[in-house]
Amino acid sequence: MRIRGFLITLAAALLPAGAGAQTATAPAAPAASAPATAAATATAAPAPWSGSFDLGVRNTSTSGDAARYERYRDLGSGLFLEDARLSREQGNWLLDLGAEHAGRRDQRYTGSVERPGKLKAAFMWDQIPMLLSNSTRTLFTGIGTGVLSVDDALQAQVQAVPSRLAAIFQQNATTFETRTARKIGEGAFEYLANRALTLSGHVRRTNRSGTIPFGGSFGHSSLVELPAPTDHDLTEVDAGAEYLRGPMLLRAGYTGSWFHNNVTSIAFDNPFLATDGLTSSSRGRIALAPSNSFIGVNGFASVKLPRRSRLSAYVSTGTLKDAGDPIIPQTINSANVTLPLARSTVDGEARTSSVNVTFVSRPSRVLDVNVRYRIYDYDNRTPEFLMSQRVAYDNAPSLVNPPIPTEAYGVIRHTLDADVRLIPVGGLTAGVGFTRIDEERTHRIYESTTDDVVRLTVDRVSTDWFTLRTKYEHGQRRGKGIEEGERELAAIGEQPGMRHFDIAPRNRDRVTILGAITPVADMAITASVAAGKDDYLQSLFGLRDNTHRVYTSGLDLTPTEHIILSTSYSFERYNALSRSRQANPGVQFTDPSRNWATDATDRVHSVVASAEVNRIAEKLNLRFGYDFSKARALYQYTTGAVVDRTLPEEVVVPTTLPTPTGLPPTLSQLGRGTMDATYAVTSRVSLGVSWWHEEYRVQDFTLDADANPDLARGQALLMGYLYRPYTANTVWGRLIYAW
Amino acid sequence: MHTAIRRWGHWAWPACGALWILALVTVRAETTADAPPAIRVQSPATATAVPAQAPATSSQAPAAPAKAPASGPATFIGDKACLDCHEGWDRGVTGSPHARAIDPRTPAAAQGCETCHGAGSRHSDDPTGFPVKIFAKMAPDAVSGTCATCHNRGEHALWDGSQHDARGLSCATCHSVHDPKAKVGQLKAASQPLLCATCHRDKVAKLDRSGHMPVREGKMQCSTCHNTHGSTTVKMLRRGESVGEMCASCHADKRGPYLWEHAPGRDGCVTCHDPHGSSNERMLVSKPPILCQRCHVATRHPSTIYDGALIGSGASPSARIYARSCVTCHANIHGSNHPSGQRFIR
Repeated sequence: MRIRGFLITLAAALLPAGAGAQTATAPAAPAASAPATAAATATAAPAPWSGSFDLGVRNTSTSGDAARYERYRDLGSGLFLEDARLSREQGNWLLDLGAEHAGRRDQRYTGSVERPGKLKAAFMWDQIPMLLSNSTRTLFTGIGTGVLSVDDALQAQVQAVPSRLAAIFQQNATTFETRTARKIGEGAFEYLANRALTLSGHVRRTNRSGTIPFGGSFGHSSLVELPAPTDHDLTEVDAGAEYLRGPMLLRAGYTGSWFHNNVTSIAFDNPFLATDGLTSSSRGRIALAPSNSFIGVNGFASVKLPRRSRLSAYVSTGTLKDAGDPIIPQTINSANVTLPLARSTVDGEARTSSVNVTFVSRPSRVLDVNVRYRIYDYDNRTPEFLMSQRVAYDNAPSLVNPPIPTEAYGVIRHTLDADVRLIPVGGLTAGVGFTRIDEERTHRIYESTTDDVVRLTVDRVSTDWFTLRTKYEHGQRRGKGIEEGERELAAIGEQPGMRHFDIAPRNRDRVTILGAITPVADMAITASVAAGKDDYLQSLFGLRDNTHRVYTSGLDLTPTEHIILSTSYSFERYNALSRSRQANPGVQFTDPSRNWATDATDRVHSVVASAEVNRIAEKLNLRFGYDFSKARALYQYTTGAVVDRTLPEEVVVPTTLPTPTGLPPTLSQLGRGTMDATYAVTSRVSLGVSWWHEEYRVQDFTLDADANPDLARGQALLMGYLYRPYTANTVWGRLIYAW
Repeated sequence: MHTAIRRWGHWAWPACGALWILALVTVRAETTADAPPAIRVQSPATATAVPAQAPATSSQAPAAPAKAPASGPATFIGDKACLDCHEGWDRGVTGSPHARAIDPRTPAAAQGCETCHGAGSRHSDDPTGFPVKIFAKMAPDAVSGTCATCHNRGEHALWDGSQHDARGLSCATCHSVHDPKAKVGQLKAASQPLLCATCHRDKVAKLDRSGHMPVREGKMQCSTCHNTHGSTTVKMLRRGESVGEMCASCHADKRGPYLWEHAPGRDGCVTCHDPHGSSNERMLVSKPPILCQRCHVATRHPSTIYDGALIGSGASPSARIYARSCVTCHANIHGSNHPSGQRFIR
């Protein structure tokens, strides 16, 4: 089936029936240098038709989690067409056709037809698989639909003897692939009506279908993981006109985006219960993503002014709307009667608008001025909906008095950026900049925040052997209206001293240094340091601070015209301190002896290395690559005061909490070695061999197999989407033909 | 300065100072040079094989403007005359878009080499006395200004004042006319991630994490989300007017508007997710429940310590930490249209 599909696709791809040049490249493919050369040659070739193809046989062997190895790609064994290109230049027209991974789950076809200087039209068909697991198991039937069922008899058995769940699961669960796939069709054109006016259009339709792991629990002791259906379409239309004449550039654009979800709710059986009851349900129902649309228009004007200055203004406005699907009922539990809903549809709507004015000036050789003012308004007009009755987990309804209204989050953001840069001597620049971000938000604990940022840059960008870029920035964000916010936090049972860190008052300091040295033309050495700290100075609880340090280095070497060597190493360290208080309602809520903290540290080492030796005896190209990433994370609990980082505002008291047991460190390590060799048999024909070796190692205290020894455990029924290690090898035998 | 900065930066400042002394010394050396050495014409392949910020040639000639001709302006002499001396420099151009003579906007349809480098008659007579434009030796804005005489619309219209322009990058920092390494875009590296890694190595390194966008698989690239030539929105994003709108341009299932919204999800996907990649599931910036506990400090289970005794391999595992942790129950974490969806359970 796969081979037949491949042959049909190959034939179709070689027919001059499409169009399209897609700018996306496939860096992950074992790209030997020969095809690239061939493609470049093809464009220039005087022959009517030129092109290349790269095909052959592939074998993949995997031990462990094969799904993760092929998460976004299809490396299955068998015939493959890695890449095919076909080009023709005739008269004033250019035609390009391309196919990648034809017949595979990650196939892509492109085409373009162009009359340079007049018209360009392109299309693309692309598929992006996302394979999450090929070993997930479930008791549910109806996978991929909006109704998931468990055999009534099995439900009854579990209800009668809950301890039999594991045995029933082992005997009856079916294994299925958890995957989704995006299928994207795209067309675009650009038409130069005259030297000043360009018209463009772009249409894209994306279908995503499959299943994803999703929660469908029935309470804290009835946890259920579902294979939730994913079946939706996204249609996007963009159109624009651009007029350029003299110093003036004008642009107008339209954007339309329609999202349609074919399954906006999912009903599912309760594996633990066969019959509905007043306090528990045999079925559950959950809302999925709503269908919606976004329509927007925008305009842009830019004018060149004297003294190398430019003034630009951009305006856009749009409307995001819910599609009007009815709100699903409170519960699917037949044993309960619920109050009528406040209304039957969401009526969700938000207006967005944005204004951006930019002034850039270089009045002299030694001075740059750059000022930008921006307004962004997300005006959420979704009407308030009162929840006067709550039905949690499709269980017993409870009255909510007073009713809780929904909160339509909106934001107005004003941003002013102003930068002045001095260029006293050749290549040396010193800049100072200021940014103010004023935000007014609805329904957040701060009514408004102001973030002031000052930055200093000193760069040495020259044309000789040494380049250095440095930047330091200090920011202070402060908020207003927290008094009301603290009352609201207390009302919902949160600690009043907690601050949501995305809007909390914060001091930020960051420095980056990036240097490049080119001692000789064939060698480049780069290095960078970045460090910073966010200090949430008013957050008694929640994220207290985070820091980062990143060091990178790289060496690129071209000792001869035929040899290219490249290597880089980077180390990243991220740390975050979060404060909390373990408490039940009552006196514990205000008891500081129950404070604790999480100190989370991530350390990542990355190595990327490659070596190319080309045109050995004018016939052989070799390429070796090695990527390595090792990420470790450690989450440490501390009770009581945090040594050396205790807040000045905090009252330090001896802890009354038991000493926590340490969490094991997590590990995520990926190593990948690649080798490509191509041998030019003739000027048109090359033979190649490629080999990939990939190893993934993982330790994760929530998601690895050790942490999840049984999928049916106690009062939980999971699917088994887990982190598992793998070792994989893929070998290609390839024929590359270019003409 | 804050004590915290001193803690992490105690050695970074001396290092920075030392680098700056080096920078100033080299600037001094450059500006006080007595006379420019003669131009050394190199093979283009060798000269531009170094990455982004490296000069295309090792020539020490200054970027002096062409002298006014003694009698009349310089005139065009044609590509052949250029290549008589600069042999091989047409290799990378041939077959590239710049060489398409059928496109009236290309150099090939105009004056060939001299379209960009300037008329060459006087340079031909006196190469050192009348240097043509050598982009590797020109100031960044002069380089970009030359390119922008043609590339001044569409993708490139917002270059002036963009973040890259403001930090002294030029078109030639990333693109090579004479020796491109990529199949498209005339890039100086074989792919966008390799090119962008020259400066943004930390971001590119994240593409190798277990949770990542399909960039290394070739289904996305840096320019899928970013327009490196400038944009009207933040972070040089290509679409939308905010980070959230950019993400929702593909993940439209998350854009609502919902009846019940998760506040950070409305305008700050990056509060919880790292779009460049992370070692956590779904590219989260930290592991649940620790991530969720950064904001949720309510009584009972949100503020409980989920320590080593409660993990899945422990004696009494808690369902709030193994598998999907918080979102096993709070499944609709981005928002819900369920009438009781306040806590995103349904």
